[in-house]
Amino acid sequence: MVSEIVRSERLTVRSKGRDFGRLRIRVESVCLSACILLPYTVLWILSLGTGWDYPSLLPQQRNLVPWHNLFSQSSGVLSGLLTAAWLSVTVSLLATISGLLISRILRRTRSWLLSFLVFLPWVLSPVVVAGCFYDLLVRCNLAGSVTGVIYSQAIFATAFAAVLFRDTWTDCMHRREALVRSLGGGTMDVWRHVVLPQSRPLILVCLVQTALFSWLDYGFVSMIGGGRVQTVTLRLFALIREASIHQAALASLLLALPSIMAVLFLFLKDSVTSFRWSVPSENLR
Amino acid sequence: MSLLLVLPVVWVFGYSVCYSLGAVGFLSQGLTSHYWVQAFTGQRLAESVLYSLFIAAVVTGCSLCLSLCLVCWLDAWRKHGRLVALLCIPLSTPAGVMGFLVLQIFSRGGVLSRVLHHLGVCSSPDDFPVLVNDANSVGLILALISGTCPLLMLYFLRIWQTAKVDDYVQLATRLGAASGQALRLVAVPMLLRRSPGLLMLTFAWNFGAWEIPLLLGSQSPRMMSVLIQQSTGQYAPEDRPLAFVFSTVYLVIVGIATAIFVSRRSGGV
Repeated sequence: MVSEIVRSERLTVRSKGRDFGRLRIRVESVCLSACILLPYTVLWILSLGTGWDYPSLLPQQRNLVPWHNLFSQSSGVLSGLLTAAWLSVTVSLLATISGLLISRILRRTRSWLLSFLVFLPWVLSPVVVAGCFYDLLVRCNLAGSVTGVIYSQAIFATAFAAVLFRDTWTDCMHRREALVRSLGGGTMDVWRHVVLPQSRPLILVCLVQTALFSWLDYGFVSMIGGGRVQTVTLRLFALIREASIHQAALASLLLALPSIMAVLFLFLKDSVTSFRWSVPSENLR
Repeated sequence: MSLLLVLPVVWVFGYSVCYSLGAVGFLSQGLTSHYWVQAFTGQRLAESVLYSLFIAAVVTGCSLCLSLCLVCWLDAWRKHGRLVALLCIPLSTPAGVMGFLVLQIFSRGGVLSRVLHHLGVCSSPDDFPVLVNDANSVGLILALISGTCPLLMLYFLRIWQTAKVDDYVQLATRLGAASGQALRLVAVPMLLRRSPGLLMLTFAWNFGAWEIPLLLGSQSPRMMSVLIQQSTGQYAPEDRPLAFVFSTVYLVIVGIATAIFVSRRSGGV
C-alpha cells in the first residue's frame, strides 16, 4: 500500500517535471523566435509608410509610396536588382565551373602553396583587394565596367567554389574514374558518368552560394564599378546616406529576401552540405 | 587557373608592396622608404591595427561565449528543428542590411529609444545613450556579433549532433555529475576542441569587416578596411602610397593567419 502511494507520488512528480520541461522549451522557443524575427519587422513597418517623427513607433502616413517609388526610374532600385541578378548568374556559372576544375588540381597536387592561394581570398577583405586591383583593371580598360566587376567577383567566388569542391575528389571517385577509363571511356565520359553525377548536390550548393556572394557584394561593385555599375547594394548604401529610410528599408528587404530564402532552402534541403561552404570540413567530423 | 587564382593574389601582394615603396604610381619618384617611415611613425596605422584586432577579438570572444551558452543551456534548439532553421535568417542577412537594422534600432531616434519613451524611461532622444557611431563601438560590435553568433551556433549544433555530445552529457550525469557540471566539463570542452579553425576564420573576417564599420563605426580610430578604402582616396592622390602601406600590413597579417590555418590542416588540403 505504502509502496503504491510512493510510486504514484513519484509518477506525479515525474509527470509534473516533464510538463515543466515542455513548458520551459516552449517559452524558450517563443522567446528565441521573437528575438530573431522582431528586428526584421522594423524593415517591413518602415517600408509600408512615409514620415517617422519621434516618438511615433509607426510611420505617420501608412501607404505604399516606397513600393511605388521602387518602380520609378529615379530610385534605381529595380534596375539595380536586374543588374545584380545578371551579375550573380554569370559569376556563379563561371566560379562553379572553374572551382570544380581547380579543386581537382588542388586534390591531385596536394600543394601547400596552392591551398594557401585558394584559402587567402576567403579571408581577405574584398575592398582591400579591390583597391589594389583597380589600377590593373584601369590598364586593361575594365575599370567601371560590368566585365571588370564580374572578373573581380569571380576571383573570390572561385576560391569559395574550389574549397567547397575539394572533398568531392575522394578515393572512391578516383577508382570510378579508373574504372571508366579501363572500360575505354575518355575524359568526357569520366566527367559525364562519374564526376558530374557524384558532385551534383554540391554543384547546386555552389551555384547558390556564389550567386549570393555576387548578389550581396558591395566592395567590388563600389570600388571597381566606380558608380557606373549600379547594383541594389550600391543603391542601398546611397539611400542610407541620403537618409531616405523608408526606401532604404524596402531596398534592404529586397536585398535580404532572396539571400534568406536561398540559405533556408539549402539548409532545409540538406543541412550538412549547405553548411559546409563556411566551415572547414574536418571540424564537422 | 592562373588568371583566376595565382595572378590576382600575386598582383595584390606585389602591387601593394611596389606602390608602398614608390616603385609604381603616377606620383612615383623612385624607390623610397619614406611612406613606411611615415606610416610607422604616425598614429593612424598603429591605432587602426590595434582597434581592428580589439574589435575582432571582442566580437569573436563574445560570439563564442554567447553561442556556447545558448547551445548548451537552452534545450529548445535540440527539440525544435524549425528553430535551428530560423538561425539561417540572421546568418544570411547581408552586412549592409544588418548595419541598417542596428542603426534603426539602436540610434538615438531609433526604435529602442521610442519604445523607452512610451514606457516613460526617456523623454527625448538626447536621454538615450549614443550606441551608434560611438567611441565605444557598441553598435558596431552588436552588429558584428549578430552576424557571427548564428554561424557559430549552427556549427556547434552540428557538432552536438555528429559527435553525439548528448550521450556523453547523459553518461556524466548518470555517473553523478550535476547537469550544469556535465555541460561545463564535458559538452563545452568537446565543442571548443573542434572549433579553433572556425574561430580563426571568424576572427579574420571580423578583422577585415568593412560594410558594418562604414555605417556604424567611429571616425577615429577606424577599422583597417575603412582606413585603407578612405586613404586610397580618389581625392587625395598623395595619400595613395600610404594606403598601400596599410594594405601591405593588412595583407601580411591576414596572410600569416591563413598560412597558420592551412598548415594546421592535415596534409595541407
